[in-house]
Amino acid sequence: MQGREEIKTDPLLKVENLKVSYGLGGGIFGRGGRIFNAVDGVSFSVRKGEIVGLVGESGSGKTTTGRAIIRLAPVSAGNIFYGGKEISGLSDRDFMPYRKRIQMIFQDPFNSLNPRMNIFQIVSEPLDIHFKEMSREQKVDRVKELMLTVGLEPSHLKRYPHEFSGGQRQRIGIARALASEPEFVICDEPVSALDVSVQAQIVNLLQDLRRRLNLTLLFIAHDIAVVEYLCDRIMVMTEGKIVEQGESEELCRRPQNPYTQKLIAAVPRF
Amino acid sequence: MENLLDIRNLKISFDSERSRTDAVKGISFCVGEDEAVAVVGESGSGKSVTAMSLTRLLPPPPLCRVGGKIIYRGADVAEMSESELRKIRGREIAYIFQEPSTSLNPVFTVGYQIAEAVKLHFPENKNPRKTVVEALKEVGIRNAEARYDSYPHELSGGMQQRVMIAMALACRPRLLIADEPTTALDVTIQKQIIELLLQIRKSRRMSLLLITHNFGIISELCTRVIVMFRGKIVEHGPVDEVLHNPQNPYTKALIACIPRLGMREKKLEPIDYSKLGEV
Repeated sequence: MQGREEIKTDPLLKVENLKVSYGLGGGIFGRGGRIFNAVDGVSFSVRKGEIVGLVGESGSGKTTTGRAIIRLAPVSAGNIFYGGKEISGLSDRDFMPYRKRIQMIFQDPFNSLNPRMNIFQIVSEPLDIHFKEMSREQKVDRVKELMLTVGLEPSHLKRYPHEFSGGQRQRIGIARALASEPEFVICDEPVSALDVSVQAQIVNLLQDLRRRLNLTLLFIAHDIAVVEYLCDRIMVMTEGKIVEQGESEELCRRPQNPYTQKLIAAVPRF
Repeated sequence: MENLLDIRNLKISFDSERSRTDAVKGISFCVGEDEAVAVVGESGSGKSVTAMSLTRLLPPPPLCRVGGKIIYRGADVAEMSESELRKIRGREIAYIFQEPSTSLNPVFTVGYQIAEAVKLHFPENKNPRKTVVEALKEVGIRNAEARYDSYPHELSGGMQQRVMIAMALACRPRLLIADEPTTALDVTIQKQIIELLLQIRKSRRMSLLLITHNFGIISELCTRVIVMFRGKIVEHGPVDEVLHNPQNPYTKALIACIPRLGMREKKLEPIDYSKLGEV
């Protein structure tokens, strides 16, 4: 990794030899069944303030890697360190503070929001958990502030998800993720379901939020052109392994690994 | 080049009790024999309903009203009887849709589903299985004989899309309408599908109407492009000219908001719709 402006700080997130395995059944109670390693020994680190892209095709294990960090997928082996402290072995109770510090934005703005909750309820739910001492008025103010941060009209507080477009819904998802004041945000294909012009808005918003809120982002996507545009560094995953990582421009211009070369060559150009 | 399809002043609107939505507001274009034309636009531009209207796949009035003329090989689609339409759908004009996993019926084998179309259009065919196996081979499915008896869930997304293409091509249509055929697929699979479509177009002299928002695919597959915005055609011309020297403000804005490899320094500009006004 020969970055132009390599950030010389300790890694905020460090993943060592992470494995996530699933039994493929076969045999009663799964015994004697084959094991599928969705994530097969992945190691990487993310420094504070960086935007790191994780690219790969479907089935490469990129989403599972992201989910394993916040325990949405079971870690079979390996260690995860956050801020220098190992978090992979913690009890659910001891992991709670990290749920506040690490948040996630999901792909599908149509399915990831509860249709029966209004925007205030959706965005303030994390406040109920992580800021129990807040009064109702404080919560309303905070939600309005978050809506402004992500470019939504604060007076739309009482509206429901179906009243918003795809791009606006993704902004709601981002506001909810930001509610707990996280340091680290995992974005899982946040723009894949959006129209190109809306995609550009959200990508620019993420860039802007990184600066304003001093966030660190892990950006998981399959579109390498978006990743190159947004991210400082890129990691390429296939078949559960990271096969190449490097500074964005360099990696896209001179890919070393045959899989990365194939992936980049497959992007239609104009 | 003779016109296979000629669309004149096409208008499509959807009526509900309370309101009326004009999805397509008077567009005209044509597709020639052995020609590949792209229709590009964002969601809501009217590009998919245009494709659906060509063989009258939209709901009947009063739900949906289609105005203007759609002329296919000299005949007005609006005046065709249901039985005439059935001869055109699939046989003359075939479709491939975006999501192969929802377009295939999960309870029948893929071979059976393709054979259904072959039997309908070629009742005299004594060995539809052979025709289907050949169609599967043509789209690059290995071990086609065995794959005939596979169910959709046993195939990957790329393979499912190949099956959809095989189904569309089995009846040797003159015009293939592909609505976002690769959007749900990985780029390496997308590349294979693009190459497959290029090769089939060449070997069969088949016309293609490609509906997409991906300019990269357009430049690889098509010669002419139509840009749609809010139900109207805002720009229309040869692919190279439109992509590299767009004239319309909307086309310019659309191209400027797409990230491309190796253009990291260029800032992405989201489209400012307020500046476009009534294009």
